[in-house]
Amino acid sequence: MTEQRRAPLAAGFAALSHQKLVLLLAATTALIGWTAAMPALPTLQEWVGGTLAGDAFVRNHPTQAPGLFFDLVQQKWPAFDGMRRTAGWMGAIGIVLQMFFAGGIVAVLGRGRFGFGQFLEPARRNFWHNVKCFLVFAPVTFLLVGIWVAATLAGGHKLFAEAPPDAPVRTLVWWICGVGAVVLFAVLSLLYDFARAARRYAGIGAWRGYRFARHALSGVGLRALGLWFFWAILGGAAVAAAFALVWVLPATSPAGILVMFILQLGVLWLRSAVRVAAWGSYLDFLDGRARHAIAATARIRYTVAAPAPSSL
Amino acid sequence: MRRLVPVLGRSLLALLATMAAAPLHAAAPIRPPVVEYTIEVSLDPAAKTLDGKERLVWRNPSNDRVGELRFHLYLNGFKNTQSTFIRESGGQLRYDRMARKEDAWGWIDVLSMKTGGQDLRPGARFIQPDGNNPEDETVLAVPLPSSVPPRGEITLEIAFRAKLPRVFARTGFVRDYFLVGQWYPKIGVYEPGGMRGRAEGGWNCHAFHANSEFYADFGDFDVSFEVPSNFVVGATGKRIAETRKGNRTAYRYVQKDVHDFAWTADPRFLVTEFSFDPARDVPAGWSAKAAEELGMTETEIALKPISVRLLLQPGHEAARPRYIRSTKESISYYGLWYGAYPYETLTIVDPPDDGTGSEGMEYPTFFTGGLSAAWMTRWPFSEVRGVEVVTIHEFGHQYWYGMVGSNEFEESWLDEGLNDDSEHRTLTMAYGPRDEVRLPGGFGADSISIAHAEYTHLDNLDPIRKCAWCFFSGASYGINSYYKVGLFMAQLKNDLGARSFSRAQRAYFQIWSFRHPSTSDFFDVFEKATGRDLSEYRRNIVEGTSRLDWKVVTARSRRTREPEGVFDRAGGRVTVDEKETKGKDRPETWETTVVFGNVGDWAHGAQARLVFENGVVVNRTLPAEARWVRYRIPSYKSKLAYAVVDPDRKNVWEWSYLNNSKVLGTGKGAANTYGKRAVVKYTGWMAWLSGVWSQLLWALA
Repeated sequence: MTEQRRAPLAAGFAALSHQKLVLLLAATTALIGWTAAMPALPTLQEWVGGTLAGDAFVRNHPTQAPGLFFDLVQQKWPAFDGMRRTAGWMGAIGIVLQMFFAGGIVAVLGRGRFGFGQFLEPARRNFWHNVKCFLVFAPVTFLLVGIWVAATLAGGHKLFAEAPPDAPVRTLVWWICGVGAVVLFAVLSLLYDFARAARRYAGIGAWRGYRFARHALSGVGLRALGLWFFWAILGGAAVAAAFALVWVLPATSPAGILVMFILQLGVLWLRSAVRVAAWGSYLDFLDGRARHAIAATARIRYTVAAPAPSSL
Repeated sequence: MRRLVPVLGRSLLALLATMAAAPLHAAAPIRPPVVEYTIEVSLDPAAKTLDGKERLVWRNPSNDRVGELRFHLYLNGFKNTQSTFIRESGGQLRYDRMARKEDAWGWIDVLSMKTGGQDLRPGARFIQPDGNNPEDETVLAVPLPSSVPPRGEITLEIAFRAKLPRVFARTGFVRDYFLVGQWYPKIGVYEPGGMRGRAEGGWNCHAFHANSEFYADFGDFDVSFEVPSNFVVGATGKRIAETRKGNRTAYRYVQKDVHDFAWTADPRFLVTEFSFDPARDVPAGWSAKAAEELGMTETEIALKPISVRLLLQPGHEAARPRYIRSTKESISYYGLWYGAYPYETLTIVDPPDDGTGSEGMEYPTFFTGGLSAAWMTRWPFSEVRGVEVVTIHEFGHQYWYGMVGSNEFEESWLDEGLNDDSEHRTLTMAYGPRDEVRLPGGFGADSISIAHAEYTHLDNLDPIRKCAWCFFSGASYGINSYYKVGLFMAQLKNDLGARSFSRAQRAYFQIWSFRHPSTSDFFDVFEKATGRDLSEYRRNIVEGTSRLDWKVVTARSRRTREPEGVFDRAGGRVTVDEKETKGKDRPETWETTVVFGNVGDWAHGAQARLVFENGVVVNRTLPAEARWVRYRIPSYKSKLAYAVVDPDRKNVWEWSYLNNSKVLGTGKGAANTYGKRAVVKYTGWMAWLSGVWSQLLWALA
């Protein structure tokens, strides 16, 4: 009997029904963001709220706001630098949390209703596997993408040094460099996600997880890349549009500021939703191939029986 | 004696006022000119070399006998790593870095220098007038067999060969693009005693430094250059002949009353020719505004038509209308406020993206634009006015450097700084607030705010007036020569008033065009024209590093209370305590105290403003000599909403705007309301940006 399966994209959209999961990711991001912003709050209270700078900024005073802004950033830079550094550390914590969440996501998506109990236990169980996968993925990606970008730019510079700046070949080099880097990142990212997803099917280690990912992608790599680009482009476009909307929002009244906050949270929600949807797609994509890929990565040990003692 | 002082003071003021009212006559070019150059040069585009013959007539402007001539050989600044130029710049200047390639070096050799048939070259030697680098070869001293008598002249026949450097600082080549500047043996300036404060006559011919530009005498140029016929060319002055010789073409350009000559060649230039027609191209209202400020008629300040040639790079077509518009605006502003552009032609060169080292450079009737790369002219940067800023600034140098020939080596503020100020005002006139940068969403900045940020971000160690290579860093040279002068001139304008200031600046231009003024000459003209003693500005700002920094030290409003304590009254001694005063049916009043202080070291006045929650505004003047001023209002029916010093930003020299106000934050009022909203809004923004950043990291995890 053949199992009736959805298309991976449809499965991705279906994964959005796990709203608790999407909200968990969005809320975690918001918490990380607000924690990072706290070091700058006293400075804002004293020098933005306590002077006319706040009035000039909110109302975008045509001549006074720019000078006050430059003064604020230059003179109070330690506060903003503190925020920047905190954001860096909170980002690192975010990476660890994401590794933790991924362990739960691969276990629960597409398997009935979402519950925190079902989510947290596999998240804990798969955490070290995900950390090990990350420790393979991060340096390899940094190295390969870096080498690609450096090599294409240096090669292009050497080959076309005397070409005028508007020559199509210069644009072509940039495109080859950019598209190549993105494709390379996409492939490595898929391998990484699939290696983590391997724990959905078997309690295997990181190296075997990557072998699983390679076998799962074998022959269907383009389809998988299509999925990756679909979610990356959809997510990127949605986030960029929402970002642009927030950017141009004047937000001078309390209602305006509230709308701005809602939109900002919306952007965080959107990014989280796209991530969950992408996982939904990948897992659906893998579900049909997992058994074969797991089998292909198994180490088969042959034991040769000792010859029977001669009865002679 | 003490009574005499005010009398003398009033008499002096009357004298100055008389001088201010007297007409200030415009200077005419000196005839015959100090120098006359006739040059024939040929470009080899493959070898990047120039072979030239130069005929130079030099007229001694002094009463001295001059026994030695001095020449600038600027291209030797690019000869090797031992030149003063490379040592000081480290091979990096103007946002560009010298290429490490074999063809990157540049040099110039004087092959012969003859007068009356005698070759002076064997006796010539490189000298280092600025002292510190014996290996520098950018100044050539040429002893003469017989001195040039006072007001006499000498004619020299010079043969030279030059190799152009790969562009990274102003001049050179990249591929087939050539920007040929500082390319011929150029004689220095012989300054007679008394000129620019000199005790005795002598040569002013400095080495080529990283942070210095040029200084030369006005004269006539007749230059012919030969290039392959497929090259499009442009040059200082007016083209009067074009002669084809096989596959090469010779172009002849002439120009009187300029102090330098530059040219360019590139087969890829897209040529746009347009004319500036005053009747059509002066923006509406500008002529009337200038006439009103200057106290002249519009006819008196009328402009002349100019032929403009724009040589644009392929791919930069989007910048074309912006070049044209900003050129017309700058011709209008500088012409109306200072005096009509006197030359017939103007050539604008748009450098390629791989030759940005030649961007933003001025030569007489010729300049290079910049910031015109395709991506810089597209959304979201389409209203970042890089093309306009560079065009207006470089056109402005036709006035402050081109015609008013101050010494860029020794007093760079007189050209770069005055021009920066004029550029700011042209930009504001043409583009309104946020004149330099406008981004989607209402974000942006104006030129004064940018100058203020530049001024305050660097250690304030150098004064504005200093020799160009004497600043503690390249950034200090830039900030002092450009931005601080823009702020100083804006401060001066606010203090003197627009009319008085504009008239003084026009007078300075008119008196010193085709001459070589100094800092003293600048202040002399301004003091005579305005009738004001400006020595405090010179001492504190131009030749000092004084800051002005008024701030609100404290601002508070407290509810006034009934007197409490022990009182001897008619009925005997009574004790009044809080229990008795509380709840008395008495209108609520407030005691307000505000202290303003000048924590800078320049004593200069300011306006102060107290705004109460009921909308009442109290304005006060803070005297220049006060270090601090306290205002106390013992009892008033409303609480203070905020206090601010210099609310209208008249003190452009202010070090910090941020400490200029205090909002009490406890009561009502728009400032308080918006301030609180701002805290919430921007904390939210930063939290959100941090969140987005962490989610971007998640993409990697």
